[in-house]
Amino acid sequence: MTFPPGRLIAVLLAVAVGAGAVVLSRPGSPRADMTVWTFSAEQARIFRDRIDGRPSLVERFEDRTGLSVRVELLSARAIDTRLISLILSGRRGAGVPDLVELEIGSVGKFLRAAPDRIGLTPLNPWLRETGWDARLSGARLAAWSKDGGVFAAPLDVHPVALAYRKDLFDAAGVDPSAAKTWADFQRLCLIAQSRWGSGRHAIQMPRSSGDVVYMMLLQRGVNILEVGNVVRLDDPIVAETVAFYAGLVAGPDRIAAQPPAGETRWAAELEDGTCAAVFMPDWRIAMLKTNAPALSGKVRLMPLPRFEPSDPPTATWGGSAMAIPRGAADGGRSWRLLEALCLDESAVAARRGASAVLSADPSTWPKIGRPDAFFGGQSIEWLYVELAGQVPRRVVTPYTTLAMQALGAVVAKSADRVDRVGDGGRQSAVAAWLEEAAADVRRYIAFGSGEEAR
Amino acid sequence: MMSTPPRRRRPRRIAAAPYLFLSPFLVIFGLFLAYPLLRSIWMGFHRMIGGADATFVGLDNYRFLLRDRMFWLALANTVGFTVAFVALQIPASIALAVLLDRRRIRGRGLLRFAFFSTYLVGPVFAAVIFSGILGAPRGCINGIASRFAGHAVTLPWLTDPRLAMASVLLAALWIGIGFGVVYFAAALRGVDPAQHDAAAVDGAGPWRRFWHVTLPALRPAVAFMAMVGAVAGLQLFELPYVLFSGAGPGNAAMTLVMYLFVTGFQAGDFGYASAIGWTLVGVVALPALAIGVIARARRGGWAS
Repeated sequence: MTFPPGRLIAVLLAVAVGAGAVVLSRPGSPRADMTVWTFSAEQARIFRDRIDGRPSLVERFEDRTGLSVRVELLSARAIDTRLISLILSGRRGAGVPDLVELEIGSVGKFLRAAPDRIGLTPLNPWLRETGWDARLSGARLAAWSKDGGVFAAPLDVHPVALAYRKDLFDAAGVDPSAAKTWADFQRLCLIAQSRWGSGRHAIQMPRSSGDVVYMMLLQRGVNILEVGNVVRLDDPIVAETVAFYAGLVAGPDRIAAQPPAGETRWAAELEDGTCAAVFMPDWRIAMLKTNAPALSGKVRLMPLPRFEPSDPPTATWGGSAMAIPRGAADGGRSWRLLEALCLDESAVAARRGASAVLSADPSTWPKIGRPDAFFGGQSIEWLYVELAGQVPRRVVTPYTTLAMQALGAVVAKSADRVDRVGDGGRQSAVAAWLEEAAADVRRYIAFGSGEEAR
Repeated sequence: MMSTPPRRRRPRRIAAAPYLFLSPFLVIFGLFLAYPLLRSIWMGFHRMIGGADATFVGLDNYRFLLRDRMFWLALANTVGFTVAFVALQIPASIALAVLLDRRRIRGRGLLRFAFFSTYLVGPVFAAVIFSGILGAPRGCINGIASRFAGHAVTLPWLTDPRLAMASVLLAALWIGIGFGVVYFAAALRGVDPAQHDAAAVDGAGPWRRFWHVTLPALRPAVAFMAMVGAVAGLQLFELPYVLFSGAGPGNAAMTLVMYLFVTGFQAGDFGYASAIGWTLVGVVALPALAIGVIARARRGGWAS
């Protein structure tokens, strides 16, 4: 038998048909009554895994309600893209997840629309009815709110401490935890660096992003964008903080090494002594213990130094929350699942068993701190509880990402200037750049909210 | 009076078969290419807040582009990169291809594959490799420089705004020169050896033979490579995005496509992102058209 288009085409056709048959014959994932999207493998494990032989959180919900639940682990970017597509298409019911975990950095874009047009369901009625609005940390609810509407339930607080290599600082005869202010901390680190010799910096801080500066600003009570998109980039406190920060990451008094790329290489650099301290939000504890086991007994935690005595000795870094898409089949049912997986006692207990992350409900925080051998017997649990109560309010608006980008660009320019020019006129140069950046962000906000040229 | 009988109309036969065969393609083309393209044009004239709402704003998105400093920064970065990339890739590729074309060189096939292999790894893997090569303080480029200098060289390739685009260029050339070498090596096979022999008989040395015989013969290949390089350069995205996990220090590695991505998927502003996208189409089309026109205008251009 001949095939006029030729043997090659015949083979290609056969391969295509065969591949199609294989794809079609593969069993699909089992159908479930409810679906949860999460980007955190740890979160997925907490939802799905049995603890000490007891039913998992999902199984308990299934037993109680007779509804089946599928937990899908997706990348944060995939969740963003899929959710935006669902909102754009206006889809409802089938295909729309019942619960979605959102990362704090990405929530802004979902809150751009007017409150009644946002693609997420406001949780206020359920929060009020069940009393969770009073129990969840107000500082954390702010990040997920717009015009009084709360569009996601925060899962964490993420207080930040500093983890430092006690053995290295001891060798230099310096106790960094004695530093009460950032200026003190810099001075002590410079002494330690001079005794260590070259090749080691005291701490990891980026010289081209605004992440750490933003934490310092939160300590000083400044959100670079306040509620209602009020731009505070050109606030004198921001200029003062950025100018100070530039001196930490560049110039003769530099104490900071650039954090390495990669999710866990910061731990490797702490372990091999390239740097002697890192910023340590509670979600990093498990990563440190897993990726740098040799550090057991050699590290300690300390609160963040401050600028003024009245500043909180902590900030916040990262965070996630559970949201109910507006197109979800049954909002009430989704809320019950949210409570079962994230908020109620068994959910908090399951989470506590799996990680050091504190929930957003202060009443569930441990009352007694257990000593942790990894930290030389220090009760880090208790330290985080103390810090969590002082976590500053963090506001996220649709334009926070843009403002962070602008802040990062100014940080990079400032550090560069310190290296090239030195100290002279640093703060005024920083202030001028920040004014320029603030004007850009204001222009973009005006454009994005339709207040300009329309 | 006789009346002519009414002419019976023959039913017109429509040749349906070609349309039937074309229909699967047309349906798929319409759904997955034409519709999204038309929709993105429509979106470019709308303000799309948070995805759900769309308000007609006419040319506002395009007008804002003209005053958006980030757009101009991205455009300057992209065009600067493209010019540098094409200007370095083509001469380097030709030089290596000419060297490889020499009969005295052994293992030419292996060397050609070695050069081409950098192209096979793709931009994402290349970015991962270069983050190790350029990373301070232990990157191998700094290591080699330290050996030559006799003291520790710790150039902040990935953290200094002034070096960010140079880092991207290095990685892009590492990928692109391999492709260029293979392409020019194939083109060199088409150069008539008799012309070289005749030039040699006339007393032309190797450099004059290269300048007057080899290079003119490669002109179509050069035009093609310039166009492919320019289009690839203007569409630069994955390499800097992976290398810096974003736009680089102080947005120094922000490119047009990255700005489009950030505007659409991070800021959720699809109307403005569409306007950036269509402006990018214009920016990409310009050099492609220019190179095409220049090549056509010259005898022996690639189009002929």
